Amino acid sequence: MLGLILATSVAAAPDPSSGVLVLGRISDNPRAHYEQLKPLLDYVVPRMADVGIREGRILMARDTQQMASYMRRGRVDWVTETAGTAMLLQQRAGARPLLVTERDGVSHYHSLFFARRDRGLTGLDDLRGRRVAFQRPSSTSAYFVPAATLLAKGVTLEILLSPDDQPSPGAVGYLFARSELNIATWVHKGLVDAGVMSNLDWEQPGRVPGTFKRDFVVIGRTADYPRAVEVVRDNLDERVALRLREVLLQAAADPQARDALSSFFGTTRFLPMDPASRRALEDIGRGVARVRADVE
Amino acid sequence: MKLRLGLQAQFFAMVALSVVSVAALMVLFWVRQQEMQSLVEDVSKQATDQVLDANLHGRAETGVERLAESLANPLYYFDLDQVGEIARATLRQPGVRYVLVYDADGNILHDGTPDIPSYGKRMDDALARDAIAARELHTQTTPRVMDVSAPVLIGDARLGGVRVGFDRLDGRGVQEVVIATLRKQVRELGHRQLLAILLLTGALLTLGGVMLAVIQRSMVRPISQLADSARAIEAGQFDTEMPVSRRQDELGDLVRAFARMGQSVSRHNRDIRRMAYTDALTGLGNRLSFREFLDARLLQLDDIGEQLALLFADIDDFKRINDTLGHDVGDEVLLQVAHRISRVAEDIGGADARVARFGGDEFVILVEGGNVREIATALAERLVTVLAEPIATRGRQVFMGTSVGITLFPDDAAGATALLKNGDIAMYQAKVAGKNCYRFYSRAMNEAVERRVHLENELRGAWDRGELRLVYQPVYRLADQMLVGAEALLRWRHREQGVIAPSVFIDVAEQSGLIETIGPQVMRAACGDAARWEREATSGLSPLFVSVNVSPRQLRSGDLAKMVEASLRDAGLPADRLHIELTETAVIGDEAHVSQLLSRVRSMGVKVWLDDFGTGFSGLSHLRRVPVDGVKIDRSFIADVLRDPDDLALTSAIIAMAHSLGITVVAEGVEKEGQYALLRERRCDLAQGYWLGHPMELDEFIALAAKPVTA
Repeated sequence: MLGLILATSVAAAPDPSSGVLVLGRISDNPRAHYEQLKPLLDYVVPRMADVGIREGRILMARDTQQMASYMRRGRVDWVTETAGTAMLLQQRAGARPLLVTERDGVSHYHSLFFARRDRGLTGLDDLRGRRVAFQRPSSTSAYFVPAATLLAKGVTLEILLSPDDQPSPGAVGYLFARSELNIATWVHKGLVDAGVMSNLDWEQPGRVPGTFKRDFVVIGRTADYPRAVEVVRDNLDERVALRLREVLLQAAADPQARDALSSFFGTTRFLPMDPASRRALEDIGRGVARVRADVE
Repeated sequence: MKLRLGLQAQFFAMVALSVVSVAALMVLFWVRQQEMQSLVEDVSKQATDQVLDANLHGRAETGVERLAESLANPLYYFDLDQVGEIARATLRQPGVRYVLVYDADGNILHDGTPDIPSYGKRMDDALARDAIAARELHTQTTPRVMDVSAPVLIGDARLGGVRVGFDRLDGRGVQEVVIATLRKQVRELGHRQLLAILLLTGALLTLGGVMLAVIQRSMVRPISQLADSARAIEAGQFDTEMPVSRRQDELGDLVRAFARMGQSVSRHNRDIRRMAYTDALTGLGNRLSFREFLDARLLQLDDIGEQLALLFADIDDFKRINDTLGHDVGDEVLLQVAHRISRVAEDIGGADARVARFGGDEFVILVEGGNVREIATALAERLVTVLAEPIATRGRQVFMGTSVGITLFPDDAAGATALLKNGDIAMYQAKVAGKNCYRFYSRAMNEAVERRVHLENELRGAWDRGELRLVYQPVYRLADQMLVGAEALLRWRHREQGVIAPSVFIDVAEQSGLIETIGPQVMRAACGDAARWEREATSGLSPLFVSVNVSPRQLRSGDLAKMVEASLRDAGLPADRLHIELTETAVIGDEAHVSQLLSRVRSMGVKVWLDDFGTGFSGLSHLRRVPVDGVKIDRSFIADVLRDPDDLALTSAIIAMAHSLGITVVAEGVEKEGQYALLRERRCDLAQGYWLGHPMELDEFIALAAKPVTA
């Protein structure tokens, strides 16, 4: 079914002016995400009839590259993503940030570096010659932003083959731990010297068990950045983009949108792109670029 | 006391034995059931244990193998989060007690807990070594846990391993529940069986009880009653109530037959008692009943010191009545006598006087109270008087005398036996004293009687001892004074008392019955002697006869002819040489019988003479009816024949009458020549006496016979 939808959507490459609004999402679980995306799309589409939108579709991509490709080719009109990925799509497909997305009442957040207290680390500078656990290469809060922060400090990052591996002297070795819990566990069990994750994850016992957290100490943090961002493709009809921005902005005030917003990854409201956010995004964009350039 | 196992006890024992046996079998059965229950439980538990273990083992190995595979990638990347999730998922499975993921060195990487407290520690439990060393699926078991370990491999590289502990006791709950249910059901079954066994045993006991009761009621009780009745009858209580039964079975038959038998025994007892205690003729008590009564009275009187008297009344010469008038008349006479005695006894002795007939013509009267000697005297006098009155029967008058002997208790004797004997002696003395009188017992009487008894005893062996011998008195023919024979006479010379008079010992022999033994011996000896003188004395002109006296008792015994014949044959004596002499009284009575008897003797050639002729009652009329060859005129006539004309006349008449009948006449006691001459003149045929010859020894007589000398 989903494959069919996917296939037809992919096959019937819609004309930009065909009256169809396509909402995209990078997903490793399309089935679950479809149900989360659909209510908001159904809310938005009827409200965009005046700009010729008569139909809404959903198209999900496996990874950033695929999504960037869809956007370049005009297959996806609108994507909701975290800041790091959004900046990647901007760099690869020219995607334009439209709105800041507030989830669970949080519009901005930051990343925290932590280590076992008994390791004696006090700051990010102490990480040289040490190993740091990131989450995964697509993670904004647990990779792009902290890695960019370290790079900005002039630190050299070296990917390690395994926790047993050692970085060059002066460089910071890093590993991808796949999950925040792994990061916490690795740090706690001494597989790595430090870990990093968003302050939101840090507060969740499921990701950082209380018993671990007792033994941890925060040794640094990044600047705040938006929780998530709505982007549209570069060549989307301006009327459509504006109308979409308008509908989403007022959605938080519309009781009819409440459920759709809630299912839309816990979105509480959409905010206009303020200057601070724009700067933060630009910093992240630069960081992402640097990470990609320096590390990968 | 010997324990007696009665019918009831035997039945009880049999029923009890049966019940106990069945109950024991029941208990055995129940015990077996209990064992079966335990066995079923054990086997079920073992079976479920094995099934559970087998299931667990299969499940565990499959699960752990898959677990090891799924852990390979996370472990490769140290994805403890993923490992933890997998471990937790495994831990959540029922029956999993622990999950340990460890590295190649056996250090724990994850134990499924959020904070992995055991991280990095080396496993050091008992099963760890083998688990770490295992290079493939490895299962170890403890009583509680099945530990399954598997290496986590990527290619040939071993990243580490995983151990999962499965609770062997998991599922045991269900097993316990199942076993408990099974046990409960089996126990319930057992309880139902126990109940059934108890009910069955109870029913058996009840049945046994009922059987016992039925047996007791239907068999034991009737038999006990029969036994009681039988004991009562045995003890003489014939009026005992007999058990009654309407049952139709064998026991009923027995009860009825027993009742009939009881009645029969009772009737017979009455008859026997009556026969035993009463005299059939007179209805008076007999000797037995009188004796018992006397015993009882003596016991009582002994205590209170009273007296009693016994009167023995014996009719004189009663036998003569039977002999002359027949037994029917005799019985009638006895009846009247009994009646008179009873009346007199009641008149004088009072109502307490008791009369019994001791047999024959002997009656006994018991009187008591007051002066028994006076009463007895009066009674005896009266009896003698009353019984002397003629008795009329069948148109004729019978005259009798009665002799009465009286004995007194306790004067004469203290015991019944002695008392009865004394009465008898006194009565005998009355007889001796001349009959028709009464005598009181005295000790002197006793001595006389005892002498007589002594004599009787001595006489009994006298023949064998040679004390008895025969002497012969010659008999002559008056016509020519020729010796014609001799009368054999018996003499007894006692070894101590010397010669005993024939009148004494013949009487004793007659009375005691010894004559029946002695008589034939005399006959045999006389015949022998006669044969001897037949052979030795050959000078006589005519053969000499021997004359032998035969007593009335011998005549009545009936085998006289045979005895005579045998004696003659043994001696080789011709029959016509033997004469037998009978007293007149022996012939009187049953003439027909005597005639027949004598005819047989005479037909042999033996001559029969009537002895002591002329003294009897019947007189000459008998001579017509009784066939005799001669008569011997009694010596009392001969003695006075010379002086008394009456005797001479009587003697002459006898001779004439005898001759007219063709009968020989013999005179006895010829002691004077005058007598001899007179008798010859009167044509008397034969004579014997002292003048002619004294009785002499055989040898003397033979010598006499050898001489052709006349008297």
